[in-house]
Amino acid sequence: MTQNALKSSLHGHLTIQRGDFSLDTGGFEIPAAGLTAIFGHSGSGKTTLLRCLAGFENEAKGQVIFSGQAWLHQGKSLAIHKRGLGYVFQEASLFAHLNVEQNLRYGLKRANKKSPGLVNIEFEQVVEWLALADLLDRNATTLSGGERQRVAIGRTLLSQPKILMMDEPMASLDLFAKRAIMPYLERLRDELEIPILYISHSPEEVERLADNVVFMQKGKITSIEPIEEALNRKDTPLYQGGEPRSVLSAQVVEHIKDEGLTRLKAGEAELFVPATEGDKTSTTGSNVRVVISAKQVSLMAEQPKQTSMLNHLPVKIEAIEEHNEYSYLIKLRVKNEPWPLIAQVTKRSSKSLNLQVEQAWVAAIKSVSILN
Amino acid sequence: MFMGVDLQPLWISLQVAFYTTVLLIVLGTPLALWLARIQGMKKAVLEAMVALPLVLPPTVLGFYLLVTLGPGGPIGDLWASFGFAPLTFSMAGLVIGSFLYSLPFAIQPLMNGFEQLGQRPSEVAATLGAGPIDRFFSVTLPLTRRHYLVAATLAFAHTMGEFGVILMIGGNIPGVTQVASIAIYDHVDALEYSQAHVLSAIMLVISLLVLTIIYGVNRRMEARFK
Repeated sequence: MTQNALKSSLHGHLTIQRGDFSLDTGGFEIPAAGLTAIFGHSGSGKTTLLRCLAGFENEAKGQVIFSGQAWLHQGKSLAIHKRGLGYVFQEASLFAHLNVEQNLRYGLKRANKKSPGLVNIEFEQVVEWLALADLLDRNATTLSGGERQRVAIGRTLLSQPKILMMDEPMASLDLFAKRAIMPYLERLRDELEIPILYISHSPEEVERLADNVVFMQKGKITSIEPIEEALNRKDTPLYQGGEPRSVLSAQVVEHIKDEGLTRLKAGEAELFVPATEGDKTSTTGSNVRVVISAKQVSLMAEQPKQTSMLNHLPVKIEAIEEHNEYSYLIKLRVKNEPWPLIAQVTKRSSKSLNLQVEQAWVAAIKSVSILN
Repeated sequence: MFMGVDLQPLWISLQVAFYTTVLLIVLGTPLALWLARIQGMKKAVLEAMVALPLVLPPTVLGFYLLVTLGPGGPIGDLWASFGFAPLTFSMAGLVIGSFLYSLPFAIQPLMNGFEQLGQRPSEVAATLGAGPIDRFFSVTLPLTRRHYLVAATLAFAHTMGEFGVILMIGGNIPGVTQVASIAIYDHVDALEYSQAHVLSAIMLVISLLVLTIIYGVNRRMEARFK
């Protein structure tokens, strides 16, 4: 582990005893970049972990270092208001005695006082981002659940946090409000340079939002890994008994209206997906997440001249793993791309094609879908 | 003098009630914050101690105060060794006695307020960069303002009507420690019913006035926050 890696991370070890429940993380190092989901079943200790990291739990023991700054070290805890962290709770917890604008400005005022001139996130910017203009004069208690949570997120951002912690910010929202708020979260992830820690027990949410995942089970951190790695193995901890799949980030290049298709670029590789309703896929340049189920990927010896399949990419075999009695999982690396692709191939085909590591093949993808 | 009645006792009553209320709010706040946070047996014992004046005869409380604060008592002697005038039979003694006697009336509403509010608003304010003092004045106090109003009203009213504790620790020195409630008793004892009438009527009006003003302010505050 290099010194640099240590500096831009949230690392340490934590224990806390709470009646029957105990949290014991062991040593951890969470990358302080992009969105890191904390995933686990309810009761696995996600919230306790995040609260200990933030400093809400006075009885927590261990060490927490964020970007070289000691938050918890040798029994000394840095006061929360000096840590420069932002925290969004499950319930929006707006201040009932202030209106929306006053709520939003609460943290901004204090950030301004502490380090004048160092405000990176402006009031107007947040109002525009989270579509809060019509709410500013409203009383915090008269907002809908989704509106409240948007205000809470805005209020947190305006306090100029160096790291953003979110405890299932959508848990108390109905499906409709959830769908409405998801694009805002994606935007935060893509446009802010602030690391985000995000608790979730929803695999769909993690798949769509996370760059890295902290897996938790019974008060322990079982692993911390990039989302691509977490998904493309047979025992993916994200979906219990689910299908292995690849997930990758892509950019919308073109929306081909008359063909009903959208052209995407994932790095240099090109993919076509059926155009879906909604503004996300029709705006060129926007970032989307794409999933490809391992069952939908087959291997061909060479670039097919005639095929109905739209997506085929040159790949190299990286590893071959047993999936079940009758099939293998083939881990592929797309040429020049950082993201892995995974294919499920029957043992019979594998034998007849004589699949070996390092071989070059063409991956034909029957269906690609955008997460939204 | 008003209609042939000495109004000095009323003035003393108001002074005692005012000082006691201010002291109860200032010192009661940290105590109530602490009580709202602790749990278990410790909390039960402390709550019982604070509530004690509710069940104890005022004369019992007054008697113990007289013994501790008076000359020869532990606190009384310590106080005298610093060269201060004695606490008993003085305004300071009245305020100390009233403070303890009215403690539950101020602490309980405040504690309920802090418990209902919970830790969350303060936690949120901390993550938004507010230090502990800032958090109290910008979040906790405005959100528990109604509980403060109740605490102050009850403390003031209860002190105004006090009799037994004051009699024990303050005696009945006209112009110094003779409060309205005791003066009324004296008038009745001396069969001066007309004087008793005047003082009683003024007490009634003052009490009604104070309560009306406070409830009026409360309504206006609520309206402003809506």
